[in-house]
Amino acid sequence: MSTREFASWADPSATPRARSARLSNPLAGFLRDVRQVATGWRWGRRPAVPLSLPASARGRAVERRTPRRALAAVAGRFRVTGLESGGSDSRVVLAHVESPADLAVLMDALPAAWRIVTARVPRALASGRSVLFVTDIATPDSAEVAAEAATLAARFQRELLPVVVRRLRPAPADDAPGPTARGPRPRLVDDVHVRFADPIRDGHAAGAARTARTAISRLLAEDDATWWDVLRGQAASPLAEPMAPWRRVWNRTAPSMAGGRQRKPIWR
Amino acid sequence: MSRPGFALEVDERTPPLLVRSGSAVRLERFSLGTQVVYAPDSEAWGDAPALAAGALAAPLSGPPLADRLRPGMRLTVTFSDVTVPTPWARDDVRRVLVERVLQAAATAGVDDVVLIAANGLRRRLTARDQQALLGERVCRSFAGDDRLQSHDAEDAAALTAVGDVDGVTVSLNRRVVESDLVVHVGVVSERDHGGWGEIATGLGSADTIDLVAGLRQRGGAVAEVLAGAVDVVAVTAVLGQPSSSGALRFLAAREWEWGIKEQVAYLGVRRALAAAPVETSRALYGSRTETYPVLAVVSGPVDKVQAAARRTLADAQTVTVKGQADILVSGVPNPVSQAPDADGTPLAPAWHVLSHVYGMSGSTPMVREGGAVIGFSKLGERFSSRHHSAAADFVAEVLPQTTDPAQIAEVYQPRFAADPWYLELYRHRNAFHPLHPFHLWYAMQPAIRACPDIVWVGADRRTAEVMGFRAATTYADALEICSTRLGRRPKVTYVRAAGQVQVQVS
Repeated sequence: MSTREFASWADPSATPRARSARLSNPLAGFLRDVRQVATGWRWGRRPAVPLSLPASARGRAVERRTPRRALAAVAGRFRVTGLESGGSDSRVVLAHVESPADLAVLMDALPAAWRIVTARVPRALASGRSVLFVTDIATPDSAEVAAEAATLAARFQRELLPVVVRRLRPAPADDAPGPTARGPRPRLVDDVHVRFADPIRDGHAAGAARTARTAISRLLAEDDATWWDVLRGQAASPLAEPMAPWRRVWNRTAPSMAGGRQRKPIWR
Repeated sequence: MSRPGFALEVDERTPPLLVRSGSAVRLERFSLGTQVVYAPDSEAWGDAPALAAGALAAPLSGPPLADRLRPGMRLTVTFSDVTVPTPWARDDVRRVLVERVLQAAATAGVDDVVLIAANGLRRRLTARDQQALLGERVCRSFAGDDRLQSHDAEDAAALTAVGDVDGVTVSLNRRVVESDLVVHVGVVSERDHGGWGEIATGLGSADTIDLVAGLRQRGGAVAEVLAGAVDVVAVTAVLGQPSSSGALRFLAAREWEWGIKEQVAYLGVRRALAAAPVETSRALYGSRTETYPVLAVVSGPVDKVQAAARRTLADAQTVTVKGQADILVSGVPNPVSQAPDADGTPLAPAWHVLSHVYGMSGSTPMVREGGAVIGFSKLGERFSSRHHSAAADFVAEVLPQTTDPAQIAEVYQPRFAADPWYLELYRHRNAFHPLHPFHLWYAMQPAIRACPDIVWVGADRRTAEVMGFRAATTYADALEICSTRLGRRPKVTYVRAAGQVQVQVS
């Protein structure tokens, strides 16, 4: 029982709620809106500027583009971690990728401002562009690629930036239905991560190459442990050790059940 | 270089100005001479990692963070929750700050690390919130074994007493009190962010938070108790103006600079909201994020960091208006910081105008004593059953009985605060604490006391009446209502600012 005295036209115990806007005609106010915009902005004539506008507020606003990285991450196709600078400084990127699909993801994740090239590398670095070296850390020639990248970074005094692309076990899509007794199976999508290490600034090429390979192995170790465990040196990736490509695929596709047999579901 | 904020005086050449009413937008002709407050443009993005590294290496006083870390210590990293900033940041700088702190901890060999969200009486963080704030790396590292938590202001076992104020025990998160070092990571985008107040209202017990945000307003005394009880290093990023993108870019653009794109976007949003208000609102604002530039990062003692952040913020945001107005006019954005949906609860929009906007000018309000406030909001009652159950009952049961804050605090607050269902929703269902609507109501009281006429344009009449306000169909009607007391030529100030602004009354 209310103790306050309400206006008769707004008494909560006697007045119906305001009618929902959904019931109104959506086109009813359209012409009025168009007319208001047309007169307000003087269509057909030069738009007017208020006379009291201070000088500091004149001139056009500088349009700032949203970083491409953020858009990519929002799109949900892959997750980017560790990328801190979208600036246009020239740099040498040393990437660990395992497939053409991973390389496509990487190219999408690299900021456009870096102006990445993969050919005519010295000239590109000299002209302020960034260069990309791609390798598979588990192959025998990866040390050579890392050394070449580090040498160029030292020669042109650019930072060396290790990065890995990881395609982990398929995960249910965000919009996929959960498992039900008779319902559709959840739609699975690859869980793709692009992980950047801290940039390396080392004038000695051999040391920079070693540091870059260590950084890549630490990024790979995040697959099986966590970033925090890797930071504390409590996890190392077996993938960083040299092994034949088939063994890596074999390891990653091993069934989770001991004995290699899938457990049958209790429903059909 | 970005353009500073300013106060415009409406003249014959001023086009109709944009007004936001929750998710809805409208154009309104303001009378000649109306002062309109515009926020500064968005600044260039700062290099957050470099700023963070610099701040941690060179705090405002005391040794660098790295020198305070040692193996075997208990380190707790606390961070402000998702209500700051609003709308959410697209790439939250707190992720960078927390990662830098953890890197320093790992380098020093610190194993015992726990992260706690300082959510206080606001809703506890979901996994999605944590991911948005801290990023995948930190969440995957810490969420698995309960080392990434939200503070629970009702968990007696997780709270410990550190003193008392006016006979009320001041309690803080036990892990925070028992840690060798606490690093509080926060962002500052408004004058009242940061400091011991943020730590008290984020990590205190419900009683402690009530001392600060309730009717007693004993924030200063609580801060003194906390400063003597815990060793806290504050790491704070000062945020600049957000930059909108996509269809809603016209919200931040100044009207006389609207091109055909902004005009078409405005008309499109108007029509879409008229045709399908709920669906369009959800599509436009449901997962809206904005990009915030980082103006500075500072670290060190809590008080010094807060003072430095405030100075930086004031330099970037302050706009001077000429004298106090008779009528203060403000729209309401969506979302507002106290609710993810400004159309859903009448308390959040009312709080936005009567506490947030009213307080933008500090100790000298933009509107004179005895003036009026006109707000634009539906004051809708589509409460989220998940987030705002207590607020729904506050509006339905408490306000029809009385709007007097003293009576509300004495009669109704104890019952709500002890209600097991509300507490269950807060502790386990990510709802706001039952004291939260009470604190919003108390925060509006200075404006309500100072301004006898508070009119809401487009509001539900019943809800406005229940809250002790008045409703008007149009802005002209609202002025008509105010004219009986304030005359036919009142001095009006309209806060148009999209983004954050501080107002200085000359």
